[in-house]
Amino acid sequence: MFLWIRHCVAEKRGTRNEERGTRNEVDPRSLRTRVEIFRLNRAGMSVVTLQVGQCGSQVGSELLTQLWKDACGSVLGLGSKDREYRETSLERFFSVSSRGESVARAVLVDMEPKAVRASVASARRAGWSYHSHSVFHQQRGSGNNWAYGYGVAGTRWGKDVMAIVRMQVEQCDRLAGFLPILSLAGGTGSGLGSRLTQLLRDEYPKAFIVNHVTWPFNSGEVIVQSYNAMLSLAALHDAADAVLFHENDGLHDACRQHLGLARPALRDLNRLIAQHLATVMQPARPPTLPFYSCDPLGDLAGSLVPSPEFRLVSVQAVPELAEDIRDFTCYLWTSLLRDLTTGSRRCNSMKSPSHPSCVSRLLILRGKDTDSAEYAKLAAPSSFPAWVPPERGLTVWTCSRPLGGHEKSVALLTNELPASLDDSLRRAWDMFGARAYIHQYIEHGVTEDDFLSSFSVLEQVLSSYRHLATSLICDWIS
Amino acid sequence: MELRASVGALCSCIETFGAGRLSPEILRLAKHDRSETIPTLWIVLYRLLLLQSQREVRETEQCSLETKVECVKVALLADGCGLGGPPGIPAQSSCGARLMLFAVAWLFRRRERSTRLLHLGGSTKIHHEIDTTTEQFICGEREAWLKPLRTQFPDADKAVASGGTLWIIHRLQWLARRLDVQRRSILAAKEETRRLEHKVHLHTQGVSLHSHAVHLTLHDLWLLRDQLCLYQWLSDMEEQNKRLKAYVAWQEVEPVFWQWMGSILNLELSRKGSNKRAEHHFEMVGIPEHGGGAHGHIRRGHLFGEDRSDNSNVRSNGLMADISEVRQELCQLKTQLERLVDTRRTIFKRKMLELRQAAEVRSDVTMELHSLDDDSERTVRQIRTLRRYSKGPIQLCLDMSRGRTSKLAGWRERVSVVEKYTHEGKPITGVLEASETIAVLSGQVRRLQQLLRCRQDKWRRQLEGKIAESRHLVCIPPHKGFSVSLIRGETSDER
Repeated sequence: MFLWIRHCVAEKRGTRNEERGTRNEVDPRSLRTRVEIFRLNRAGMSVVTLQVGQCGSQVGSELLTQLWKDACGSVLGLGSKDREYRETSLERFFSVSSRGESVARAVLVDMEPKAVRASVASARRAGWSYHSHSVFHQQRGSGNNWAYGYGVAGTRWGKDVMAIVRMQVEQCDRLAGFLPILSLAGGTGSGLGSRLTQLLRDEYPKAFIVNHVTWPFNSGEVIVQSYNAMLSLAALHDAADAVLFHENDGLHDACRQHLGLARPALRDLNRLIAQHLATVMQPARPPTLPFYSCDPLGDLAGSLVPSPEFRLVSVQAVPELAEDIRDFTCYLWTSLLRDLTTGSRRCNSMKSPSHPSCVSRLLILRGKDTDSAEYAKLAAPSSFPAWVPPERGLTVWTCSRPLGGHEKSVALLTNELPASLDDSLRRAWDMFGARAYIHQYIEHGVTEDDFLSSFSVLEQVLSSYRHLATSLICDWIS
Repeated sequence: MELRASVGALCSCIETFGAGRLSPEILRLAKHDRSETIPTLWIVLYRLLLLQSQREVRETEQCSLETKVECVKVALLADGCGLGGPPGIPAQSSCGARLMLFAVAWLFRRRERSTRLLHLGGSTKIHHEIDTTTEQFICGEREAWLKPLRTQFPDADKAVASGGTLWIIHRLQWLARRLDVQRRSILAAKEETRRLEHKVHLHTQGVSLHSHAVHLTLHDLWLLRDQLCLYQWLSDMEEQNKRLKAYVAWQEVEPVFWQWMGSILNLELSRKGSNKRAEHHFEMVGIPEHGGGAHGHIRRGHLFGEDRSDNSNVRSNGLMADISEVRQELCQLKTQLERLVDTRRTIFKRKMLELRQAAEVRSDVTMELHSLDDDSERTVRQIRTLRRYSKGPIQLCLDMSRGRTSKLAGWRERVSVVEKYTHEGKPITGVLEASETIAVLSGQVRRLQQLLRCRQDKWRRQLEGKIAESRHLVCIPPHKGFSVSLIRGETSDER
């Protein structure tokens, strides 16, 4: 930013000094340079990523690695479009240090040093780095206790983390918003992540906050995961503009069926999440606009969250292929879109006709010939409630540049109810009825009323989505 | 020829302002009160008034002619032109072409007004790339908005009763959300502009609006930042240039137009015949008395012509008479008003006095009530103290009414709360917890043990004294568990 301004000033001064005698003559080369500078300057707004907890750190670093590799993968021989794409992507998630290195616009937060150090090391191996002041960790974890993360860690270290965030924000020329990445099962990610999201909302009321949460396995990773998930979701529902979610069960199935992994590890799941998020977060534009979306989080929240009641957004992306079969795959828009709407990878709103609880959709097409993609089925007005104008139900973004080694790829974001929310909420109610593990939360300042109010919020969300489904069925019948 | 050029300049000026196409022929026909010109003149008036109120013309074009007529009448009335009055333009939109021509002239009668139109014309939609679909949705497509509701619920009352309201709420939430997102985007863009200006200011000698400055100007900044803005700015400049040219052309030939308008006014006056009636119309149409509205360039004699000087004199005499009448009426009204004010003031003062007395009485009663309350409370406390003393220093009461029950599920048991009292019988606020109860009881036990030990020592000393007195008596000391068994309530016989 400074460079182009200086360049313009120098150029202007030079031309003024040279042509002081000649009145009002415009040098066409100068104008062209300015337009070129304008193109570079229109790189878009920046997103500050907040990686909280072990899962957040791992997913975030994997996501940033994929974004960086995609942007800087083929620097040589870039065309103007590729250069614009690269500039937009890098401006969005990275800054450039004084030594010319890419430094992530991210803040790493965890209560244990292990995951944080691993993320920093993996970033260095990949070729980019975190800012040395952007890493915050303590020596003692939260013990899978949401109350500790929210009440104790959030109160004690919230201000320190916000100071780091402020430093990152001040480095952005144009702040689009925040992308906090966390999981719902543990203590730090869910508890401290919720607290930090609320602090962000308080401190930056105009910025967009789009959270990404990883839903735990239904079989159970942590005994109190239902409590943690419900308390976190209730807190995020008030503070965030949109909550993107991935369910571990679905990711596990995808790894087994499509990537050919017999026993998928957490690293594989994280990589898959990062791949999906990269498909969403990399630059794309509406087909009618000549330039990429400048405000990615604002556009995403604006097109996907039409009402404050409905903020939960599922993320699906295809293809999910093992690396060894990518070269032998034939990419067709028809088959990719069919994969999204049918089969095991379809979104929840299409799994069962009794639950068509979809409010809006965002389809992102990446690759060649995006104009030939047929997505009328996704845009059917009957899929959306009557109060959403038909032309606003489905939003489409495209990008002609392929992503992640795939010739074509599609991401579908759907505002819908997570399949596991009902079960998790029921389980949390049952545990709460038996007063199981309540004392662990009470001793860190979370009262029974807090539990009840969180459950009430989520019951309301559940009811809203269910009412949506029933109203949709009524529409179809009429 | 001059008149034709002048009217043509006015028409092109109106057209460049964005108020629609108006040919000189229409104005000529309007002079002769031809009814076919009326719809066009209504539309032109409507658009000019919209431009004056800084609203975009496109958004509200879809309303019917009747609505536009109503809008124009209201706007002109608010503006000072008495079109809504009895002698003004009739309620029907099918007659009064000449009066409408006067109304058009009214809008151009002052320089600041026409200059404002020059600035506002076509400028409402530039400089901001805001998605106006939502606003259009609200303003222009009300019917389309209600259509799904009507198809879904043919009966409106039933619709409201069976979920139609919910549908509308959802739609309003949707609109509010979109507006919120766009508002935040606009705020972010504004903030970014300020930052950029600040940076430019830091790295240059400042931001200037003058093109001869040696550093970046604001326009340079905008053009560098946004190519679309550049093209839009150029087109806007062209439009403004056109407007300016038309306006300058109009300014040059404006006096001729006002002369023409004066002749039309005289035509109207002669048609009416009656001087008083004509006077009323003169006021209604609002052509300024000082010179036909041509910004003071044209004198009254020039405007109306020397042959019409009699009419003017009569009109001015009538006006003076009216003014004197109005003055007299005003004086009478003022006197009446002063009388009324005096009466009201007296009544108000009396009422205030009554209220103050009532407030004093009320405060006395309140104080008495408070003292009574204090007495009764004190008595209750004394009774409680007596009752507690009769039953021991501490009494635990189970208060079942204060147990909390979850209304959401039937899982939660009733929780009893224990109240605590001190030795004086004063209730201690809060709940006596189990641990606190145990602590109190253990204190009691300790106190009893100390008492027991004291008694034991006393007895032992007495026993030793007795033994010392009678030397022939053999003493067998009690066994070690004696005191414990006593504490547990066992007697020596039982053991």
